[in-house]
Amino acid sequence: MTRSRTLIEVKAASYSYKNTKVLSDVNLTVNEGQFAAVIGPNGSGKSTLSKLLNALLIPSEGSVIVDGHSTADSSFVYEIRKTVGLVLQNPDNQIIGDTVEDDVAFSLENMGLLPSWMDQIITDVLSRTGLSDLRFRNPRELSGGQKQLLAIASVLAMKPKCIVLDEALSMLDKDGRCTVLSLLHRLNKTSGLSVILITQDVQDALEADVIFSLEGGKVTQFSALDFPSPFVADLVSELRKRNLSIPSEVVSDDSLIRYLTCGGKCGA
Amino acid sequence: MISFKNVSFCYPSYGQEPKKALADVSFTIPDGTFVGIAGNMGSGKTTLCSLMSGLLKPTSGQIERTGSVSFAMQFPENQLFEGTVIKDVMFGPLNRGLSEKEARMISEKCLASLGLGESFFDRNPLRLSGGEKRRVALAGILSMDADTIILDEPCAGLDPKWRDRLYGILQDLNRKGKTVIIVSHNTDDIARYCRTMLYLKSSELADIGNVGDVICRHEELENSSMAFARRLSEAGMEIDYKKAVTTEDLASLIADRQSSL
Repeated sequence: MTRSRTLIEVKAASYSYKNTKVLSDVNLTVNEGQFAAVIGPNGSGKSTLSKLLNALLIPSEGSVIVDGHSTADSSFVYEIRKTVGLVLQNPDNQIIGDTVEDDVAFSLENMGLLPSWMDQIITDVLSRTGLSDLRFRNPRELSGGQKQLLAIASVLAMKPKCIVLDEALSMLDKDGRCTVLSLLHRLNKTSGLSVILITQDVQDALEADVIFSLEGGKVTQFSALDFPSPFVADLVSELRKRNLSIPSEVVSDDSLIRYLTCGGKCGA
Repeated sequence: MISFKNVSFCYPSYGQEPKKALADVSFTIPDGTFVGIAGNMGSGKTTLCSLMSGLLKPTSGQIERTGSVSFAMQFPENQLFEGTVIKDVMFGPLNRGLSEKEARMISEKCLASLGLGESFFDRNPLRLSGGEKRRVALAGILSMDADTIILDEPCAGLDPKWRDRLYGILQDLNRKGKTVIIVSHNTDDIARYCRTMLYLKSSELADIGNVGDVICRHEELENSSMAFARRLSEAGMEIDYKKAVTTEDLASLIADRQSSL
């Protein structure tokens, strides 16, 4: 369910690294309980945008407002980072604990939680992300995908209002991706968690309420319905090479199966 | 050629029960093969690559290797260290004993093949975007001109255009006789580009062989085209969905079926 209260508002924001402008006049809004995806080629400014959302970077021009507070106001940095949890692409950049449970506990300790509460939260979040068996292992002994799961678990444990995942599923296997995506969609539906999924996988983006496409530092907003499934687009192109005519309105798995199994006699 | 004979590997464990990261693995990869390595998280893929490249020594068993090997680790951009892009890529060829001129020529060529032209040469590699850093690091691996190239999830974080471009470059190198070994969770990509598939499961070698055969033997490896073909077959189209290993295979199966109606 999409709620209407604005949680994050990026207003005419630009960002430059020295003389290189990476984001230019970007406007976007993410509401409480909204599932948003951000797609775009390498170098389009996706990671820069993610860092603007939790005040790791401050826009050179324009503003980013999180839950009513401007990220440029340093007195709200702690509040903003509690509201927006960021998972980076490379988990080695944010894992610091000597054991998996220590790593999850780190942020909770900083929030001043009692050890008994922390234990409950850690047990819950490790179980939800499928890491319970690795609880006492050293994170450095984990595989790349397991480390990505741990980074996600540590951020979820803080119960942020919004989680931003900067290509943080890129090394998960099919089961791991499925576990994380179902968990995110479930938390989004049941607890109103806002999700901003930065991804190279358009298939994952198609599950979002709204898709922001970044290119050349500019952002364009789409609905998932505007995007054909990349797999279907590939298959349709291959079928056309083999002289099969497929109507242009066939853009999803379901409509293509329907079209092909009724011998092209029924509509898409 | 890389050959493993009953190879096992345990990471050092401090006071804990040692856990085998790889258990009794035997296989041979002949020269000129294009191999895709698949397996769940923690199944031993990275350990296998480190052993193949010689970065780790087996706890038991024997490894035979002929020719030179270059290895792109996970997040190879972490290996960037020089002040400029061109110097970073030239580091490997210079260490192989090439002259400054030769090293620069091969480095420029490798960078260009990954879309990084002259305007990037003098930039600080650490100040580039994630995808650009990745491409600089991969250019550094390619510039080594090794007989075998091992890449551990090189496409994580690359956009689809550069993923296809990288696979294209690897296919070209493979056609020229290089052995290419790539780890990927994406069985669509493995089916499309690789000829041999090596499948690890719980630290053991579950299967190795022709990509289509390996995918068909293990339900959990089902990729997008096979899953779509299975749904088509369940919806009434008479096709052998196990033959739909790639999108091209699937399109041909559908076209044959439609023309026979």
